[in-house]
Amino acid sequence: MEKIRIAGLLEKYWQAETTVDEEKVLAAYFRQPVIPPEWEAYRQLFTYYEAESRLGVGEDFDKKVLQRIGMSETVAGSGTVMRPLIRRAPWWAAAAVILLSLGAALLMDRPNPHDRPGTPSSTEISATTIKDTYDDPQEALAAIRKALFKASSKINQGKTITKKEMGRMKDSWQMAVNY
Amino acid sequence: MSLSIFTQRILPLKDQLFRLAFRLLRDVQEAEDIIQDVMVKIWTKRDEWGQWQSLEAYCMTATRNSCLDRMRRRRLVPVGEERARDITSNEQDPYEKMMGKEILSQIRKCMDELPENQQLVMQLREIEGFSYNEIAEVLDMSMEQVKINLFRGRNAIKRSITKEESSWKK
Repeated sequence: MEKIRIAGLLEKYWQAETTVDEEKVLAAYFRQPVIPPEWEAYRQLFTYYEAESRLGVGEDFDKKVLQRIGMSETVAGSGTVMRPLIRRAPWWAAAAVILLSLGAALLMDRPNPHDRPGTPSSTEISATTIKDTYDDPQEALAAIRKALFKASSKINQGKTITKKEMGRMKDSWQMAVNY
Repeated sequence: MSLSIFTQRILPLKDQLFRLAFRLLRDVQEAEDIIQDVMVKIWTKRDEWGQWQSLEAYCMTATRNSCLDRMRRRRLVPVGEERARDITSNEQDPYEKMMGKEILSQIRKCMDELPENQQLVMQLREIEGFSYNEIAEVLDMSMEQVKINLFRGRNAIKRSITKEESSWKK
């Protein structure tokens, strides 16, 4: 019974009158392990089409194409578009940049509480104000050591202030992102 | 938005486009290069996507045209036996296996020797499962021409494999 049905479909197939669905029925039939021997050649034909339909490009094809269109860094996983924060929230990103710049400017302009009145601040020192002050090398060495010790203590203060400011910035940024 | 469409609708066509290119060019690397070029070109035309009737059909047509351009620039060398892969592993009998391989090789040879339009129609129908309408759109031919090319292509292959089989049975 099935053989008659398949024979009818084959006849239509050679006349190019089968529908896509009928051709799927034929393909499924010829995937069976046992078919009439006179149709063995047709099995080869449908096997060939099936094998051809499995051909495809290499695994890194998407990566190569996305690189060529300049979008490789924005796409990850299977077709999921991962846009960076700067593209998702451009205004918040711009605000954060302004905030960072202002913070940096404020930090630079802030007077050092350890500077004594009348002494030039570190930004005021220039090559013209530097002159030889010591004749004795031992005395000069001691003065350099003292200056370096003072500078290192200020570096540590700078680290503490930067850490504190960065913590505040991080909190503001998190609030902005969650908003 | 454009990137979403590109990754969700255009990139997934890569294998289908590759098979079409491979059908025409018979060279894996060349076919893949062509598909990359086609995809990049389509991306650069993203402002026009809205005007296209079907993105998929446009991609297929662009691939076909790129391949034909490439073929015009070089003399096409059929790959023939080099493409042969063993897909007849179901047979138990060595005689049947050998016969299967011969028929398969005959199918490949026959497909490669078909006129270009018949090859393309066969490729889109037998391997990609396109409807006559879709084939007509991609190949820019009438439904009647699609049917005629398919009829001729199928019958050329039928003659070829039945001839091969009867020569084995003698």
